[in-house]
Amino acid sequence: MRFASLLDNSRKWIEIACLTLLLTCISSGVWGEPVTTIRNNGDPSNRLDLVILGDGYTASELGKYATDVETFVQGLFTQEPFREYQRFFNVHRVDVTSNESGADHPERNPPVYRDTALDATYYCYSIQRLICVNTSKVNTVVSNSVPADSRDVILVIVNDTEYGGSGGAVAVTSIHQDAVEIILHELGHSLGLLGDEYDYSPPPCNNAFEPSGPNVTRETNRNLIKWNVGGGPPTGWIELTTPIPTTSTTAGVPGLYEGARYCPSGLYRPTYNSKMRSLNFPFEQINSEQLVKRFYNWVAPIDTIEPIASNVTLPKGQNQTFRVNVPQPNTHNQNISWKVDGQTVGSGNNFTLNSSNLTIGIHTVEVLVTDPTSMVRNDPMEVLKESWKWDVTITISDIFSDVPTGHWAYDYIIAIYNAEITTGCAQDDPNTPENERKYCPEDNVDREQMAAFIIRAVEGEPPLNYCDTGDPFPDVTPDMWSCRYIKRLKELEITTGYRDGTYGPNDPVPREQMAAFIVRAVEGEPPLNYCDSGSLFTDVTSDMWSCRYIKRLYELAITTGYGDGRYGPYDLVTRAQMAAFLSRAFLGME
Amino acid sequence: MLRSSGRWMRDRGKNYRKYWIVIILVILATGAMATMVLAQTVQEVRVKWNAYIAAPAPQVEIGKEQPSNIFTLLERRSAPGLLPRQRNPELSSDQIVVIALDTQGKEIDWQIIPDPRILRAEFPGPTGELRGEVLHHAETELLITLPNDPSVKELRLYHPHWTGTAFILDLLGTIPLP
Repeated sequence: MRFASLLDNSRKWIEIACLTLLLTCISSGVWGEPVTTIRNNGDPSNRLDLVILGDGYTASELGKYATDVETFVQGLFTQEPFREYQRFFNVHRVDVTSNESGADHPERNPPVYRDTALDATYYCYSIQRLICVNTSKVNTVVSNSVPADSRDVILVIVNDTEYGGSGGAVAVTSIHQDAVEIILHELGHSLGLLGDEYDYSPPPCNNAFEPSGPNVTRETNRNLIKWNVGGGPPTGWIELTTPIPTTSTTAGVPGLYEGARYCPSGLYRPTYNSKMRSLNFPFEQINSEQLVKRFYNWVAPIDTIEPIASNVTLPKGQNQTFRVNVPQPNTHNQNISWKVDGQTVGSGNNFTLNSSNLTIGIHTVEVLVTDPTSMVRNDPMEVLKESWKWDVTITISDIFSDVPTGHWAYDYIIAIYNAEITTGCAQDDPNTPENERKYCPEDNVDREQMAAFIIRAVEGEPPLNYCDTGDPFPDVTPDMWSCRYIKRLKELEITTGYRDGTYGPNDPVPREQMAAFIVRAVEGEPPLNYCDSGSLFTDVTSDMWSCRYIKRLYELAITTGYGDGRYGPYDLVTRAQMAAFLSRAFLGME
Repeated sequence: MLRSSGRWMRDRGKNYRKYWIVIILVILATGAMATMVLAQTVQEVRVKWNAYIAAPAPQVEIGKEQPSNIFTLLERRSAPGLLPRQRNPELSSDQIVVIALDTQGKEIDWQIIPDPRILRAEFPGPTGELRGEVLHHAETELLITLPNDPSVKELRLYHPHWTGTAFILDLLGTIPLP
């Protein structure tokens, strides 16, 4: 009985959960018309998203609709500047199904009316070739089917072969062969904010003041014409040899041609003809420049960056790769340059920062992306540029992979690394992202390592060929890496070697020897009787040869012993202890 | 009988556990979807716009509300997606500027959208050169996308008016949001 009750309750919960899921789906707009992204060139938040809706296509005609859209899109992207920047666009095809095929033709006798999803009709406002659609129905379909950031431009293709279309917030075209031309002209208006360059009126001619469009002007001063910034090339478009006004009929020659924006005189256009004046002509230079700049209104030159965080912390010695992804024009590349602290250091999508050459502290890494297209000569708002900057903090941690930050000798080891007294016991492989550099802190120091440590601390690196003139000891030959250090150690009278004349380069170093090496390096020999007044450690007696060195070492605050009154003169010195002794003796650390 | 009853009880117990697993999965999926939807949502406002352009408009000062426009709120809802953003928005007379305000009159957001009243009728003439008309819908609809911020309580619509040297924003009307 109890289980049955629980089971009933669980069913109720399932129903509630399913209902919640359903409501969530509905509220998130899952139930729109089918959408197929037929050109997917990137994240819609950084692309110009064209949404194409069909009207007058029945369910059985959706295949034809897909073909019509594809033909249209291919045609759109064969014309400049859309061709060069086609990868700045996504195209979403919304499969809107109508009950009947075609569009209304109320002008025909008898009138033709079709039951279509978006109410497309010719003879709108009694203009034969003007096609209107129901804006409210378009909004409903778009709103339910396409996310808000994926619908920058909305086009409707009407399944009717008769010439027709309209421009405005929603551009409409039939599937007449000139459909692409109609839409390109309308995109010139809606996307490019370009003015009409034809001089036919109506609309009424108004040449009383300067028009706002970038391709129409009443200005006749060469230096003040809006598409001739700077009075000519390289920032302006009108060659100095081109007369103003321009009367040439040659295509594609920027100048100042009278007749534009519904006025046969008093207003000027930039080229003899263009798509803003006649269909089946190119946009030409000035309109293309404006369109490219408008593309960059929606598409930033930088798509993504890595790392995403603008503050990067990088242990010195490690590498960090920075990456930038950019939208790619069709036939030319974006210029990508990398700077470190203002100095140009590289180009291309990736840059690997090697922190070995940077000082500890904050540095900047900056990437600058610029479109070098020849289509744009004047970009005062710099929409064709974008930069990104990272603050990179170089830290001293993790220089050695076997010396974690919490190691007791961490500060000493890092200090002697920064002072170039050690490079560690194993080097980093620059070809791998891992840090293989090690210090081997628990290894014992041998006498050849000791020689290298002390010579570097006292005076830096001896020349590589320092042993070419002779061996310092019979057991130290010039081919040994440590020969030059041992030779120099002898010359500085820090060592005389063993009594038998050898040096014993591979012998470990007891702490009493280490005391002698360091004290001699710091200040020379203490007096022979320096321990007559007594030793300072319980395990170091006054008669020991090393007593005076150990006592002096203590007085110089280079050692405190083990803390229990002992010094451990016969204990072997580890590399970690060596770092501490060297730091105190030569770097002033406590 | 007892054995049979006991097996039935065990089976019910297994089913019971299965149901709970299903319930938990459904709740998790719902929660995940709800989180996703809430994380990337906008607010869509649909407004019916009666613009009596054909009627002689009374003389109004620039910047004052044009009395010939009637805006009727049709719908306000959350929708998936991010806000569309423009890097270098430019004004033109073919656009509408929408400013979203809170109850204190503080600006929350603004958008530039195409003016839905405008209808371009352009066709090539006998020489191939275009000719046309710019018509205005007397009744149209606005689809406005805003941040999904419940503090947005009013929309102000402006039309950019070009003076020859600059754009001036003429107030078309205000739309209170519930």
